[in-house]
Amino acid sequence: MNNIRLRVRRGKEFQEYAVPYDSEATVLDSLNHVKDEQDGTLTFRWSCRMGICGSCGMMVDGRPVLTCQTYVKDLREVVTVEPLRHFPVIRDLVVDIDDPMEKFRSVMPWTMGKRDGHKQSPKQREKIHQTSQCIKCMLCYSACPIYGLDQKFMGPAAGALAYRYQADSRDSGKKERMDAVTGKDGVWGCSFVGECSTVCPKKVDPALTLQRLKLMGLKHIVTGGRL
Amino acid sequence: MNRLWWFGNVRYFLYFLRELSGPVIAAWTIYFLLSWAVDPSFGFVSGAVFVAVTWATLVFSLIHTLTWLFVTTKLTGILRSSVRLGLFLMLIGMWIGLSIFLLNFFYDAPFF
Repeated sequence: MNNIRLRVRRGKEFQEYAVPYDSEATVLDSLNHVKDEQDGTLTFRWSCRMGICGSCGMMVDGRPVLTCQTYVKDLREVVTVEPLRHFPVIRDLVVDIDDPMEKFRSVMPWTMGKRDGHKQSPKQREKIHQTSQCIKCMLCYSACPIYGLDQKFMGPAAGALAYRYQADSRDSGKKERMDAVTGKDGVWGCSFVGECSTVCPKKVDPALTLQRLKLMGLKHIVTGGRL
Repeated sequence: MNRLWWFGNVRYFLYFLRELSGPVIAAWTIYFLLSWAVDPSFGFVSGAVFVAVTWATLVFSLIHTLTWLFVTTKLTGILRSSVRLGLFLMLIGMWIGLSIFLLNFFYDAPFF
């Protein structure tokens, strides 16, 4: 079995661990090996181990990734693991994600009213399929330099979530949601860097979604929300 | 956040160049207008400094145009294909037309 050196940021310093790996080992497996065999104080979030829950997002060699989906064999001999960028650190690799969670709540992520008895055709469902895949892993917030510079910006995932409900045929609350999205710290802060879409593990393409929201927002402002 | 965040990866750097290209083109336009105000006969266009600055600005205007078109292709999922094609042809045509006109006007290039 081969060994890698995991260089983990803990507070202001890095701590190194030598970890054995095989062809199927992920960075999350390596972190769990450290916690189980070497240093039980190492703290990090994880849950499903299969890229569904979004808990294990971290910076690996400077890139925000899901550690359960990042294979050690694809990395260099020394792997640097840090907490997600742009978030306050609670401990070791655990960050405070309250801010984007609040932004999610601000875009009213629920269907309002009742249209057509909540029926939806396959074509209508297809329209919201891509943005429905978001697992709230926060990798996009870590990749977004606009959010890094100004944390009042709503951010990519909140935008994708807003679009998911705006485009939902069963929703009747589009005007109220658009008022939130087109506000001062809403969608207009996005300058289409595109890095959020590059790092998204679920191919939600939040960058394109935000531009779609801008067009919807423009229409909303011009028509006074009447259309 | 680190002030040099835009050196973080290639995509950040290209984004920064894209955003920087706008102010560079605007600065060249102001430089051109001020020079024209001082010398209405356009004698300044032959000056070494103007030519050097213009060549440098050409690089940024190419970056501006190509990155803008690249971004537009990402947006084209929300435009119908007929609108998309028309928009591209119009933009490229305008750019080529304006370039030919300016070359002919300032440097007596034999296009007309």
